[in-house]
Amino acid sequence: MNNVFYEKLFKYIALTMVIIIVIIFFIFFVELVSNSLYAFLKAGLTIIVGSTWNPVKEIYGGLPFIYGTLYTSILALIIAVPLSLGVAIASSELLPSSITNVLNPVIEMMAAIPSIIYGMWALFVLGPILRIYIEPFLSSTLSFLPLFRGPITGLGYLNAAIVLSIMILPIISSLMREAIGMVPKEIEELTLALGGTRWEAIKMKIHVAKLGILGGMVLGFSRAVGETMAILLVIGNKPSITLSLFSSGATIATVIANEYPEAIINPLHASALTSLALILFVISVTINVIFIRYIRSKIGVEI
Amino acid sequence: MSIKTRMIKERIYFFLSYVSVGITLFTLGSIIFYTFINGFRSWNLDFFLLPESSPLDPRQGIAHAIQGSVIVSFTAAALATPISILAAIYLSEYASDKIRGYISNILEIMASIPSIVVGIITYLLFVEPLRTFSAFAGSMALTIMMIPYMTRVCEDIFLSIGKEYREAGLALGLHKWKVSAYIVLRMGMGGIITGFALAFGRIFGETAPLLFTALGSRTFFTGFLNPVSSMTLLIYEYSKSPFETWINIAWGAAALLMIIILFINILIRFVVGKRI
Repeated sequence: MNNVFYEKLFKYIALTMVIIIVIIFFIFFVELVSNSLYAFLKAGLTIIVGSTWNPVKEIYGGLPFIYGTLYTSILALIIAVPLSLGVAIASSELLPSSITNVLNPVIEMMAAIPSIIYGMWALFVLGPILRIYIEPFLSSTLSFLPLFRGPITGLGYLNAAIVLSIMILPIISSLMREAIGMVPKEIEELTLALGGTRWEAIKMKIHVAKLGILGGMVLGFSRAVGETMAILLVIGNKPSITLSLFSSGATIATVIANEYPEAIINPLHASALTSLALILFVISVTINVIFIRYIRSKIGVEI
Repeated sequence: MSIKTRMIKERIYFFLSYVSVGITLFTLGSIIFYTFINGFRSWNLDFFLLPESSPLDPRQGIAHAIQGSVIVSFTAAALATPISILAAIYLSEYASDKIRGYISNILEIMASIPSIVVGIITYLLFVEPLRTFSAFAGSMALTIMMIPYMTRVCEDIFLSIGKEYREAGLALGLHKWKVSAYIVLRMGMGGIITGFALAFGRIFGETAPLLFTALGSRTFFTGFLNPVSSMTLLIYEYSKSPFETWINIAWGAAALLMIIILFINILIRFVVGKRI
């Protein structure tokens, strides 16, 4: 009798915790949607496609932030993917295990460093390096490209993209390393037996592991999309739609962090920012859940 | 292609691989080096014992922020840990496959919500109704960040424990809840501690969810319904400021934060490495 009671009690307490989690999730969703409704009703699709953001004049076009979010994240991927692939190849194929036993944990530790520290480093260390050495060089040699035009400040899209790429490198490279490590040894042996060089054998392995490698890239991208603190100090916080890497910009996450505390007194402004948060939520959940799940199911079939 | 050009190509690609390892380690080294070099300079007794003062005052510190970080993070951990462990027990021991599937979808979505969005929602849920920024709201934001991560870790651990242990317990006449509490939970304890420490390290370094919940403060903790500072909020505010004193203090706080996070991570690796 007593034991049956405890049995039920334990089970229901545990069940309550699950229900709490589900309730939190639904409240989250409802709060986010209901609070962005006001702005969507008032400003309509302007919030997604409008290119002017001016809270003083009550114009809320969110396109510059969506652009900034995607632009910085894509740039970050362009920098991080080749580096991650290099690191993954070196640590899974080239370096002896005595070195990788230290190297892999060290690189994974990079992922544990709080993003505000990356942000501080970007502002005080990377910024001056870009301003004094790299950006003047790029602008004097490559200024025929629209990418490298504009005033040199050391802050802006380029700085933000570099910091983001450093932040997402550990996750991308460790997933790539795992994907390459899962490739059957026969692939390598076959290539070598056919007279291939070691590099050609590695290339075969990468080819076989390409879906897992893609998965790493997608996960890195979704991390970059939602990142706030690392770029908040260095992106310049000025909404702009431009290719120029030297230009200041803003992302959805940074505009929320910057303006929300002041927007609280103006319901429409606050609601517009909440609807941007909803857009960010949708982007990162879509990437994370749908895309990763798709890749996972494919890998299950392939390997 | 002759074998010679193929060999040269191989050399070039291998060289590029090593170069990417070099660039990565150099960057990591630069981050750690600058944080420590700039940070240690501002470490002294005042730094650890005094709260904020005017930027012109040389005698000030981050004691209020350390206290705030500890209070907010430990409150969050104290709330999130039992919820996560019990939810994970339910999912691994009682739930049907179908329900477990639904819940793990929900957890996966929750874990992928950007932290700044968690900040906004926590503001709407806890700051607006109470009409005050508060340590309580900050703790709730971190609790919400911690739950999906910890629940998934615990669930994985419980599911990895072999069926035969549960059967052995049941065969000895134990009730199911005792099997869960005494066998599954005990056996998973090492993993739970690891997961807890990693989750704690994560929320301890979070800034974005605290921006409009805990808000930051210039003084020591004055109660759960008042704003409170945290080390991360302080680093952010001081880095933005034009004052040399505050920027130096921000480096000092960053160095302390980095040491705490690295210590947690290295300790875990050491402990886990030993157990396996």
